[in-house]
Amino acid sequence: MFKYICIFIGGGAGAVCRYLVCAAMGHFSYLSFPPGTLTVNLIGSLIIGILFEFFERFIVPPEIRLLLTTGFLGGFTTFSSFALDNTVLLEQSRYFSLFQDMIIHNLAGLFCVILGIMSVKMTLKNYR
Amino acid sequence: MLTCLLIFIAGGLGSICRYLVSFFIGSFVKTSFPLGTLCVNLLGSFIMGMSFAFFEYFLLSPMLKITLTVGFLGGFTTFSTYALETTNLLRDREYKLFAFNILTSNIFGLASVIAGMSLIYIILK
Repeated sequence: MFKYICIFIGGGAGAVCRYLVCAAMGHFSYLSFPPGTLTVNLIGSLIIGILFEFFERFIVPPEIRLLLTTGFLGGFTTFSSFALDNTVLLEQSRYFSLFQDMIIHNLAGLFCVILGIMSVKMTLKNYR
Repeated sequence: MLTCLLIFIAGGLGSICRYLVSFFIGSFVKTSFPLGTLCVNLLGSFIMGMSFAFFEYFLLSPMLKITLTVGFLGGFTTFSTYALETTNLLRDREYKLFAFNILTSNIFGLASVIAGMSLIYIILK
């Protein structure tokens, strides 16, 4: 039961943070596709890389892991809005924007995870 | 303030549902492929398409729309886990699964939204 409370609180807090970031980003959009979704997804990918490597090295209680990764980061990032944004671009025949959004999301998403992992590895190099 | 509270509750519930669906699929199918994340993302995209079309047809409170789409569906689907699992497939040199995961998530994600929209348009025609 306790683990569900952890996921609930983490997921709820993550979703509210995403809403606030997207609301703030929407006003100064200069990209041809919605920048809010990309921003939260890339920040979330960076943090999940950091946490993944951190959890590999340190003993962290499973409830804290669920709170942070399954809860907070899962709630903070979104796939459904990404898919919907792309469908709208497809409907409007804005193929180049669609292509940009997909390529940037996937390439930069993977890059952010690797960047997160590497940054923990380099920071903790002298600890082991 | 009320909007934030509703998003908190819906996002929390969405996250619990994601955990349960992933756990359920993971306990049934033993594979190194991240099937659970793919399933929640495609299912979430399908419901996103449905609600997008639904809220176009009916003038309902924008609060309800935000609670369902930004809150529940945003909490239910995840991009961070998708990115992490895809990176892990690359690290484990599972190149076929790596390519398969990226292609299915992106192409079927789009297709799921369109399928959800089309379903509502057909029902409400």
